[in-house]
Amino acid sequence: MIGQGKDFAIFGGSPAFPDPLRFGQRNLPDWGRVEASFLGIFERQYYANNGPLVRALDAALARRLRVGHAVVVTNGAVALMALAKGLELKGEIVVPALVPASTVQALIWAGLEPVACDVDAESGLISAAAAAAAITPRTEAIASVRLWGETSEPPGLAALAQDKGLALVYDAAQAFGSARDGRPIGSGGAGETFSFHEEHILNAAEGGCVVTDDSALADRLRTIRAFHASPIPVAQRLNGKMSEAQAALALLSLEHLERHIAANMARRETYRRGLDGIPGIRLRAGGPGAGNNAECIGIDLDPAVTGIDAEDCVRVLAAEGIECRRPLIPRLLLGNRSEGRFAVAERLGRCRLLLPNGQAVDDRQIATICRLIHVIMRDASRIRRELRQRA
Amino acid sequence: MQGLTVNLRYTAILKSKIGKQSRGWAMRQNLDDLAILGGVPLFEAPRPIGQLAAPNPERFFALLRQAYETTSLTGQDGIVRRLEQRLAGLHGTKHCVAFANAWLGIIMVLRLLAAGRPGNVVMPAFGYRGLPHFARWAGQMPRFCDVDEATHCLSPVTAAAGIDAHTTCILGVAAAHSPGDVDGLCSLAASRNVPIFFDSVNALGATYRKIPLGSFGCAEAFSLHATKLLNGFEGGYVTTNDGALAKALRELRAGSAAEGAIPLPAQLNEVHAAQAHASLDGLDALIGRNQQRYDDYRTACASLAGFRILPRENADRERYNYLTIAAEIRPPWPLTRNQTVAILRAEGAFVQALYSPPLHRSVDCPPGLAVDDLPVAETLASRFLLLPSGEQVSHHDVEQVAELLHFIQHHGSAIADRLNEKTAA
Repeated sequence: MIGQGKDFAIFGGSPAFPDPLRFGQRNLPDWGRVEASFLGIFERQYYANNGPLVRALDAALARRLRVGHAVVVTNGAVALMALAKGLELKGEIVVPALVPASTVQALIWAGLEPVACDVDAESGLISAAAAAAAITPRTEAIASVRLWGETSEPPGLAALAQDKGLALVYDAAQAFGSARDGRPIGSGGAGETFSFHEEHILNAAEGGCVVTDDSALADRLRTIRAFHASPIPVAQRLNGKMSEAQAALALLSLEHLERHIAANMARRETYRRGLDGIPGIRLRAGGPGAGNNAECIGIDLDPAVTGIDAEDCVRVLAAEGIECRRPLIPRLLLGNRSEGRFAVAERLGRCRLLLPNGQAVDDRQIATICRLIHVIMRDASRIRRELRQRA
Repeated sequence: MQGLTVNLRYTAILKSKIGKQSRGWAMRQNLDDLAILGGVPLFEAPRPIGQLAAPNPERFFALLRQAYETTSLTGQDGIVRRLEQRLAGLHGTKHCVAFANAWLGIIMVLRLLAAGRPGNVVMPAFGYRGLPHFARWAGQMPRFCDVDEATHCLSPVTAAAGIDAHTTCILGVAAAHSPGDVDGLCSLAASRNVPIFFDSVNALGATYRKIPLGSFGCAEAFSLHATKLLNGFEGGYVTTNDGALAKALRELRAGSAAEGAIPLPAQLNEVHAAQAHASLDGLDALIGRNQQRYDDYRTACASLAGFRILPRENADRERYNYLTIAAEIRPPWPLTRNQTVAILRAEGAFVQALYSPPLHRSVDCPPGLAVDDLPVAETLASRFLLLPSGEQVSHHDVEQVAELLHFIQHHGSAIADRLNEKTAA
């Protein structure tokens, strides 16, 4: 490894992690519990179609999130598609420029035209002022994305939606289990969607759900998510059935949620100690007491101080076998129009870095990552020079 | 040793399950014994429609364990990739692309075939409730066409009537008892320069000209839903010999599509793929048991006038999966199809009217879409029902259903009177 006379892997050295550390939570229940749960399914021989575990999961999620209704589906994208159809949205929907690409994809598949606006410099969330500027006569909704488990509400956003008569929906894929002032995230706007992809804290081998306090909407969503006979009229339906297998995993994951949050907090603390004192690097807020589920552990680099930006950092770390992420504006939002419209989002993309934080990442590995970041910062000017030369 | 203990445990636990009981119909003499008229239902636990196969749990757990050790249950190339290879082999195609369910695969194919043009998808009016929704998700409108009376499928003539300058695709649907005139439809598609895609969800394992379904048209779609032949809990896949189409589908489902295409997360997970592998291991034996049930029904219902178990077309030459048992009701059967369905359902035999109403007369027809009469589809939609089928239906169950049907036939007019009284009241 570098620091012992060897170079970075990106320049030909041996990688710090020959078996790469993947991004994401990848929380898995104990094998014994999984075995028992699946044996139950095999005994009942009930595998799909709104089975007992799916019904139990719908109820357990609603209870845990303190909302009226949870409707589980295939994945987070299908949850957004179902919600869009449940609200009968058409036309344009304002989305923040920092949004998962899959969210934009799902909205387009649902027949909507996502129109991006810039984000708030500190939170990275949609800014009400920028959203207001993006509204046109064809706008029907605003999507707010709870990035990085953020629990704060974009100031003025709900009022804006109400004033303009727009539906406000939340993509809360990264915020399951986050809470604000003790109240779980989930009861915002007309509805919120979650993802149970293994990158997130609750793992159902994919899976997702829509939550809402609106009973009529929940009834429509339950009709929309499958093609069973239903007395409730809806214009467009889909197959979004979650299986009993996925529900079994989700129920176990939900049972262990507090443990997963605590483990995330502990890993965050290890990162904090390891990164302490590196000039130009700041661990993002979200520690104990913040209400964040801490599934995303982010750092902000000040490129003026560090001499290297997040993009180069991600490349160097990836070569070392450390999969990190940085905020990106989805290509689908850029269209043919000139760049520079999303100055804040672009700047966050250059300075914000999300670190590996999963069940399989231990303290020793975190210490190694932190040491590497130290060395990268020390060698920043050479790294930048050599990367530029290559390009 | 550890492995052996675990294996025995799975088997012991699952073998302790006792078969579902039924009370037996033989003792019943009176109309009041019918559940719909207040009697005790024939089946305590409902007998469903659907394969609901129980694959070998040892095999499932062994595969799932592999995924567990990679700490990834989705998006990996392991179990899913191997499943795709096995399925491509089963269908004799170059490519197989798996999805989280058949709907996702179908809407992606339809969208790719439309290539950005809003238009219409030619489809049978006698078909699955989801069909028009598939078209809408691909940015298309359904164009309902009539079907062939014998095959229940689009015919070259009925499909031709629906093709116009805005047609982006023909969505052929293989019926469980017949794949239809596949060559005729493919010729029509070629002559009109329209892509053709087959929904073969109900015909997995079937052949056309002794060639397994899967390689016809631009692509074919299949399901891994538990009620279908291959139980992967839930899932679906598309088979094709078109390398460019397969590549485009893989990119779409992984979120990395080329410029202009809109991806959508749609991957099959490793858990469902593990179950599908285990199901695939037992496929031939399963089809054998299905054929036994089908033969049981045919024998037990042979003397019922006006109640016919729909036979497989060219069964001497072609293969079928024998999962679906459809019955046709015509005079002199003493009751309507809907009355018959209601009586059987009350007894715990969860029969369903087949594709009724037809799509162009259903709530699934897009509002404002005017469709002329499609006489064959409308007639067929009043005639058929699906009988309990799959692994949760035993030989004894089939006999019980048949005895009930004989009772209904014998007391038909009296039952009709009582049902009419009940309705009037």
